[in-house]
Amino acid sequence: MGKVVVDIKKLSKRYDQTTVALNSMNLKIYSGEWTVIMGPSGSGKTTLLNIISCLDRPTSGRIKVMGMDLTKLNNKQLTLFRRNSLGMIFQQYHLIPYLTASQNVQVAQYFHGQVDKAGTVQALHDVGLEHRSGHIPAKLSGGEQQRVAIARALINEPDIILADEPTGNLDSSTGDKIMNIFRKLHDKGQTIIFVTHDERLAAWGDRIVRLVDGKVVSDVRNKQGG
Amino acid sequence: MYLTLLFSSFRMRKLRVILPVIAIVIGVSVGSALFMISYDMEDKIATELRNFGPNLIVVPESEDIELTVGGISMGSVTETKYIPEQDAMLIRDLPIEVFGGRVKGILGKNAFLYGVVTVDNDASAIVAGTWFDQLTNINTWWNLNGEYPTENGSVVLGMRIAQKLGKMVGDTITLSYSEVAVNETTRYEYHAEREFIVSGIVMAGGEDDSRIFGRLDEIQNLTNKENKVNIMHISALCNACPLKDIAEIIEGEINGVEVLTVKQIAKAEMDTLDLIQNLVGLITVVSLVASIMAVTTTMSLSVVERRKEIGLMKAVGALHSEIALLFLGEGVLIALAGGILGFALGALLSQFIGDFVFESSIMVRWWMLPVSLALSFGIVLISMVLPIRKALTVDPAIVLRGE
Repeated sequence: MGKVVVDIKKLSKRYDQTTVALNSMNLKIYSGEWTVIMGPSGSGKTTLLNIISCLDRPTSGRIKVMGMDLTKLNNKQLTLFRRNSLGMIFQQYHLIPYLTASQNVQVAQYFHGQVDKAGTVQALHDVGLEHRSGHIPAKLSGGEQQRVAIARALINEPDIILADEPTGNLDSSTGDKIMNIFRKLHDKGQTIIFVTHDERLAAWGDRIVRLVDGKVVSDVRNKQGG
Repeated sequence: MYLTLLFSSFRMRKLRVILPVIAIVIGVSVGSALFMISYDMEDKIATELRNFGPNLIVVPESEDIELTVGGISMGSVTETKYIPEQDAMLIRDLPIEVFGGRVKGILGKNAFLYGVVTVDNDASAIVAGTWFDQLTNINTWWNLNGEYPTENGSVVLGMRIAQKLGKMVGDTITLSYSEVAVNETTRYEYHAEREFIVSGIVMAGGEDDSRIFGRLDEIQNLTNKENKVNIMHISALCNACPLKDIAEIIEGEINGVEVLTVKQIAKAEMDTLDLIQNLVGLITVVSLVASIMAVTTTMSLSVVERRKEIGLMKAVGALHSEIALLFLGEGVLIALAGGILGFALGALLSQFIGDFVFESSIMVRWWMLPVSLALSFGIVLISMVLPIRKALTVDPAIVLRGE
């Protein structure tokens, strides 16, 4: 196993007196690992992903990502950390509708500090979309949009990719294409934290962490790994 | 990339961009049109009010003389004094530069010499000698039937005196003047009589309808008052006329005169101008406030529509300052377009209002362009406060979560 890239201790997230999204959970994620977070609706998997990706804050407990204690960072520091170290992929792609595919990728570069057009071309090539770089999202299929989103997440060479149901809006055939991209990234040593409720997709990962009611109920290595 | 984000956003959301520009154009055009009109109107009103006659009267300095008889005080009398005609001409010929830029022009400077004459050995009347070329500049409301005298031997009658005497244009009239002065040792008598042709009858309004007007040199000769005048009328064209200052300047240039302001006219002018300026200010403020509200509403709606886009930008690492900068950049472009178009429309509007309402052309004031831009930027800056705050509070975790 590689070094610990995510170290969670007694992490809790409460929204009010009665709504507990995460309940004093403990978890370690290792470098180069494809970790799948599974669980039924309301189990806390999206909340966990949001906290790891610095979009949300825990109520109590500790979380370190890449050695950085996120609970000690202010909002600006969290944003900078997310910008520099993490890449995010969403179920609904969330491309900016008035930008082309290459411009959507460049947005992530822009907020990272500088736009590198050659890097954009390479990123789109890696996801098989260099021939569609000038199209706006409305002219792209769902699978193509998600591939643009993946290129956007990868453009700044993040330490960790976080994906929240990335194939949730796609048919199985297209979904498999997306999963193959993740496979290639994983083979190159990319750390991936992948949220899904689909057992079939969970089989692609190295490790399956199951949550129920905000707690880790099982944490098993996947012998087959996709 | 920053400009790409700005312009691509505009292309996609044309209506959301055009609406705030329109709101700004309306506010700025109303304000700039009204300012241009009020600026011109100050001049035009000042000119119009000059039609009501002089706003300055020059009289000789007077002294009250204590009168006692047998040691008993009989009160005081004011010695009749005159302004020497050469001083009157000095006043007439004063260059406008003397007033230091506060006066835009002098529409007229006229002199009068009054005397009491007997007409056709029958009735008495007041005769006034004057410079007719200046009279027409100041007394613009006089309605003349006939001609003003251009040569000696002619007079103009006021309408009432003409009716009383039964005179018409072309008739002759004999004016007689007598004066007697007696002191301890001598008796002085003077008598003169002249025949004149009635060259015109004037409807002047007021006391002037009962007077007879002749050329100043002729009346001076008739009344034995060579080189003397009683009074001068001055019609000065100025904005927010500093009449007291002008009066002091004239008194400083010419000895022995006192300059009086015609307070009613000055007050009417000031009151009218104040009213116009207050009205212009009020309408401008109301229209600008309306613009601000419209732009704020439109921009706030835009933020709501773009919540996911804002959330995505935050998710990929945009700081609050970077999000704010994007919206401010949009605001700058909207302000530029609104300010320039607002100025152009305001110029057109001022022409239309000038032609249609005031029957007068309004000058386009180019310095209103930077003022319009300043107004536009002011509207945008105030309007963007709420929408930007709204944008900064967008929570990516909420807006980006899957279904």
